[in-house]
Amino acid sequence: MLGPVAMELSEILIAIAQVAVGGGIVQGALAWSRRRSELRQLDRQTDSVAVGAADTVVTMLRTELQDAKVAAEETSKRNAAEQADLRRQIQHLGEEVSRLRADLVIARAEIARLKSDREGELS
Amino acid sequence: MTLWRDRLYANPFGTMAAVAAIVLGILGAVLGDDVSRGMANSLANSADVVAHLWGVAFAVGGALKLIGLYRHRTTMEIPGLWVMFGGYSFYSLTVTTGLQVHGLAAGTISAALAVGCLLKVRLIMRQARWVAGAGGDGTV
Repeated sequence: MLGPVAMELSEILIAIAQVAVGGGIVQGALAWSRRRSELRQLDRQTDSVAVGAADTVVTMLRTELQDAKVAAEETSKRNAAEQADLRRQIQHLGEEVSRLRADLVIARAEIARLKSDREGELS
Repeated sequence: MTLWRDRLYANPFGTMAAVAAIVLGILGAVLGDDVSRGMANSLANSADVVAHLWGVAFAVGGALKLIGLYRHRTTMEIPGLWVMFGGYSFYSLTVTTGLQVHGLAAGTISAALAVGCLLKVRLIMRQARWVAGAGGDGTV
């Protein structure tokens, strides 16, 4: 009783499977032959959107690169100016030190002289 | 290289469904009904010939889908998806019929992929109709 029914069901399923694979091929061919112009239009639009998006990204990156270059140039200029300033300060300090050293020598000589004068007066 | 990778990351499931169709299709085309016990059981005498034909169609469908997807050509992708739908639903029905409860796992997965192919076809066709309906000349 159950045998023929199961057989029948499996036959129906196989028939559906065959219709599905055949129908898929037919539908594919139909889509290609009848809807080609619509699909091509979609492809063109997708491509133009992709190209447009890529263009925008490139422009954005170029602008950012330009900005980064300007910023880097400014930084290096500022660095050079600061370096020159520091060098000038160092030179100035060096001069100051040598002047003070000379003053010190003079002061020491003066002290020595005064000391010997006082010793002479005491004796 | 990066474009290729972008497409893969944008369509991981579509890519893998197509790759699976190509691999299974080639196996079917080469091995015939040895590729699936369920198909051999359910198709009985004509199984070998049908399995070879199914394999060829399935592999061609997967290749069309893959090329269409990666080259942005829906004129190839849509036929590929339809043939893949046929291939997956054929496999799903034959494996379930041939192995019954033992074929449910493979049958469910391939039925889901067949439904996915149909949904993708609908999605693409709706977009195409929308673009055509907007009367655009291909620009936004």
